[in-house]
Amino acid sequence: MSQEQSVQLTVDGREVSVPAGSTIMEAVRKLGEIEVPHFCWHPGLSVAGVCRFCMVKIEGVPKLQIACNTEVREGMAVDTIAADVKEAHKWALEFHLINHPLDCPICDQAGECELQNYYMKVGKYTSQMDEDKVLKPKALDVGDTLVLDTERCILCSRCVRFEDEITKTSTLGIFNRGDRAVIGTFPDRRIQHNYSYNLADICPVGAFTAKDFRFQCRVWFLKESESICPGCSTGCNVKVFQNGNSREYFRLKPLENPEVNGHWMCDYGRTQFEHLNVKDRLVSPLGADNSALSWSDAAARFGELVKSQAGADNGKVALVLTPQHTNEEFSAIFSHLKSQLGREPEVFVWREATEERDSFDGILFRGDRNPNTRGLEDTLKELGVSAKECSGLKDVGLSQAQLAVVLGPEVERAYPSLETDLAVLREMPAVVYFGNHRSQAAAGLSLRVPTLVFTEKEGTYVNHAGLKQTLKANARVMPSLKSLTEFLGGA
Amino acid sequence: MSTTTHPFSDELKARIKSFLTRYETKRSSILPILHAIQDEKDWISEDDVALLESEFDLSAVDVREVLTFYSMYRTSPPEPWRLEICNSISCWLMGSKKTLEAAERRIQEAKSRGEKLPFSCREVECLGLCGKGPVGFVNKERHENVTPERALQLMEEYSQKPLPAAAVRCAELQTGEGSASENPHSN
Repeated sequence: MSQEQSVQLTVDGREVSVPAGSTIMEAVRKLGEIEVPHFCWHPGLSVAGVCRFCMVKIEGVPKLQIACNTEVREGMAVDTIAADVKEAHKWALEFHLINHPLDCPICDQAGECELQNYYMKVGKYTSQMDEDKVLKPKALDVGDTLVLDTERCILCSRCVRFEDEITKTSTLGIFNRGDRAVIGTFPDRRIQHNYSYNLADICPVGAFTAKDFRFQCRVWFLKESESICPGCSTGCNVKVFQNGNSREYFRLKPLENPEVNGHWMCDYGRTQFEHLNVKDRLVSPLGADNSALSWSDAAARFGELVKSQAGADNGKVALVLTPQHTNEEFSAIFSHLKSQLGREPEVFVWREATEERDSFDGILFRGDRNPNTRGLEDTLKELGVSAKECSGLKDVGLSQAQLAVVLGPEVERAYPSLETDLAVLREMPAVVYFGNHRSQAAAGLSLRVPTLVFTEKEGTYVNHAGLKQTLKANARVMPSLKSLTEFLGGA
Repeated sequence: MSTTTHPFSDELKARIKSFLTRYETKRSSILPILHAIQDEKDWISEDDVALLESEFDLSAVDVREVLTFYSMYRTSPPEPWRLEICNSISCWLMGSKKTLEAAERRIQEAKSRGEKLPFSCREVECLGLCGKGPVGFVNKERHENVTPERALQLMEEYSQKPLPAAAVRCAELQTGEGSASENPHSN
C-alpha cells in the first residue's frame, strides 16, 4: 500500500493506519482491543447505519458520529470512551429496549444475545419508560428452518441485507413505519434457500431463532470448538457446539475464514452434527451375525483376514476408500495393508453414482459432497498408487477380490445409492467395513469396525481449491472408541 | 368475473409501464405506480402487489415496504367518500377536533340507523392551507373553513353526487371477486 492510499488516525490515543475510504469502525476493528458497540453493522454486509448505537466522538466535530458510516480522515482523533460517548450508548440501548419484550427467560438467544451482552456492558439499568410496549406478531413460521419474533427485533436490517446481498432472494423487508415497523416476508411467502440459518446467526437478538435449536439447550451449557464441515468439498470452517457433560452435539455455526467461507455456511452443512451423537453411532465392532465383538477380538479377526491373503501368489485384495476421511487415515490403512500383505492392495475410490460432482450454487455449496476429494487424490499420488475411481461399486471388478477393506462414508446421506453399493459388497467372500453409523445398512458384512467422526480426530482435509485444513480432536462421544490408527496398531 | 377481467385496466397498465422507464431504477417508480393503482380502483390489495412483481418485474417486498410505510395508501376497500380533516396546529386552534367529532358522530348515527352514508372520516397532518382552518379534503377536493356544520353539509352534498369512478371500479371488482370466491362454497 502506497503512502497516499493509507490514512493515519488515532483511536483513544492509539495510532492506527487504514486504507483511505475505510470507516472508523474498520479502524477500530483493526486495533483489536477497543470495542465500539454495534448492532446493524456486520463485516459481511453493506453499511446501513440504522441502529445509531456505535457513537464515537471525533475531535473538532461538535456532535457524536456513528463509527460504521463515518469515513476516516488523515489525523483524525477518535474517542470511544468519553463520558458523553458512554452516555449516548446508554440512551441508544434504552431506545432499542422501548418495545423489546424482555422475554429472555424463554428466548433461545439468551446467553449469546448482543442486546443482553451490551446491556450488561453499557446499559442504563434503570429504565424511565412509562409507556406501554407496542405488541407485534410473535412465533411466526417464516420458513422451514426459522421462527420470527417481531417484538424482539430491533430493526437492524441485517437479515434484509443478507437476503438482498448474499442469497439475492430479497424475501425480507421492513413493513409499516415508526414503532409499528416489523421485519417480515410478503404474505404467504417463506424463506426458502440453503442459507437460511445464517439469518439466525446474524440476528443480534432473538428475533430469528433456528427451529432445530429452539428450546433444545441453553447456550451457556454448550462448549464451542473449531472444525471443518464435512458436507462438501468447500470445507467451510465451523464452530461445533457440544454439551460438555453429555457430549451431545447441538449445532454447527460458521467460523469466519475469508479464504474459504467468509462469514457464512449452508443449511446442508448445518445438519452435519446429527451423525455425531451417540444414538446414531456404531460404538463397538460387529461380526457377520451382527454380534458385538471386543476391540481386541475384532483386531485379531481383521489380522487373520488380512494374513490369509498375504503372499504374492494369493488372491486379490481390494482397498475401497471414500473421500470422507483424512489424508492420514488413507495413508495409514494403505500402508498397513501393504506391510501385512507384502504387496500393494488394489485401491478403489468409491464415489456416489448419482453425484453431480461439478455443480456449484455460486455461494458455497458444491455438488462434490465429500470433504476430502483433493486430499485423497494427493495422498494416493504421494503413495505412488494408481487407484480406480468408480461411480458406485457395481461392475467395477470388485467381484474378483477375495477380501475388501472398505473405509465407508462418514456422512451416509452423501451416498444415496449406499444400499445398492453395499449389496455388491455383500456378495463378496470377505469384507471389513469401517463406518460410524449404527444403521443396519452395512449389516451382514464379515466385520464392521466403528470409526471416529470429523470432530473426534486430528487430521487433514484438502478442499476443492487445494487448501489444506487441519481438524482438531474433541473428546470422543464414547471413551471406548478407537481411532483407525489405534485399531490398526492392535491388528 | 374476476377470473376473466384483469384487475388493472389497459390504460392503467400503460401508465405503469410509462412510470417504470421514468427513473433510473424501477424501484424508484413505486410511489407513482401505487398512486395510479389507487386512483383507478380506490385501494391496493396484496394481489395487486403480487401482480406488480409477476407482470412488471418489481420486487413484491420492495413494493410492500413502501405501501405499508405511507398511511395515504389504502390497503383495504374504503368508503367511496373520505373526509380528511387537518389536525395540525392552525386547524386544531380553529376547532378541527370538533369538526372531526361531528363527522364521526354523523357516521356512527347513520350506521346505527342502518342508513346508507358512503363516508368515512379521519384526521390527517397539515394540508398546507393554514390560513383557512379547519381545512378538509373530500377525496381529492379541498375545502376551507370546515366547521362542524360545514362538515355535515359537505357530507350531505357529496352523498347526493354520483359515486366516483374509482369507487365504482372498486365495487365491481369486489363483487366480481366475491362471487368467484363464494361459488366453490355454495356448490
